[in-house]
Amino acid sequence: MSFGRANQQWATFSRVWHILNADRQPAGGIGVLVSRYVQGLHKPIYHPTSDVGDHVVVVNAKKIAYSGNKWEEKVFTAHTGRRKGRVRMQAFKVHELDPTWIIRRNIYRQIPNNLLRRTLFQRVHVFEDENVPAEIIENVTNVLIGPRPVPKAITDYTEEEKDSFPKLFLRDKYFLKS
Amino acid sequence: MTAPGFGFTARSRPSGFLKTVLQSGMGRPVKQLKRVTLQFCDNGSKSRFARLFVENHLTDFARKHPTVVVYAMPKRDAMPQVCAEYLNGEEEMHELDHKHPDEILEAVETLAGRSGLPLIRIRKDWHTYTPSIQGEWHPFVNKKDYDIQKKIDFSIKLWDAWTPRKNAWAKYYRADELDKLTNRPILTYEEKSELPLGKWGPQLPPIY
Repeated sequence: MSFGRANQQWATFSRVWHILNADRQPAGGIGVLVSRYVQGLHKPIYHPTSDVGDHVVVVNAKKIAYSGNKWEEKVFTAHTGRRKGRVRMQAFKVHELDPTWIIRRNIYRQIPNNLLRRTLFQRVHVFEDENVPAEIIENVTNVLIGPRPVPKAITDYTEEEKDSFPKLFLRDKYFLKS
Repeated sequence: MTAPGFGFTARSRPSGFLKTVLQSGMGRPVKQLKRVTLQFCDNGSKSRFARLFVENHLTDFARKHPTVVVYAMPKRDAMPQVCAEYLNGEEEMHELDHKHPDEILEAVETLAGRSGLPLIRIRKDWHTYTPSIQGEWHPFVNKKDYDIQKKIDFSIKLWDAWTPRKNAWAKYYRADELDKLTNRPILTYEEKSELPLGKWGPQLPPIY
């Protein structure tokens, strides 16, 4: 893709729209990755005084993964400011109320705390599933890869692949198949 | 020197980048000084040396620089001054009161040798009109397989659980260097116990 001499600078400073599939990805890792793209840190022309950040669309926010027992043990807290106004809620309860809240919070906390924080955060678009409005998906030109590789589940293999897999021992014919 | 333009104060001096005229005169040098106007008084004491300069040195100067127009303008009660005009439209004035003819000649010769570019602060020691030959970076510079008509595909890629993962630092090494690192000779347990400081380490003196 080539640009003319005058359009070169428009192309250099244009905003790119990225898309990221959050399926089976950690929320904190997504926050680190997306905040870099929103600030424009991945560009060779980056400078803190020039506004070169990109847009990032995060889909499948409902399907994020936590390791360990974090869905129950992780607790988000807030305070209303009044007496006895402390609010505590487990991660799975928050996720039931708003599936995009955990990812949005992780991204917002990774963006540096200055006057540009809310402006940069407006360029993050989080959706709970794959239904993205057409006016947003038509801008997307790049696909980001999540921070963790997703292994295949046993349900992703066909019966032929399961049978052809090398076996260490043969099961008894009366062994109950799940 | 010409007066700095608008927008400059005592705290902000004019500045610019390095320039040349006619590729520094390579090929066909053209003297950039167009006209020299020497103004002096025919009676005043401040113009005493300027009058001496006109009598003794001015014709030699004009003969030495044939492309320069030289004016000598006597004017009653005027300060002795010299005005140099260049091909790019710049003007420069010098006051010559109480100056010796040799000093006047030196000032006029320096004016004749200059390119006419304003004397301002130079921001950098180098300048180029083609900063990048391969072109500036833009978001699609290394994405030649991108097709705008193709629908975007953001489905995740599934891996087998037993696929070996590369180390994070593996991409920073060349292929041959990575081969040396991964397949380097590893000492066995017996060799390690015999040589605790390594195969190529210092040799300890025997204990009696």
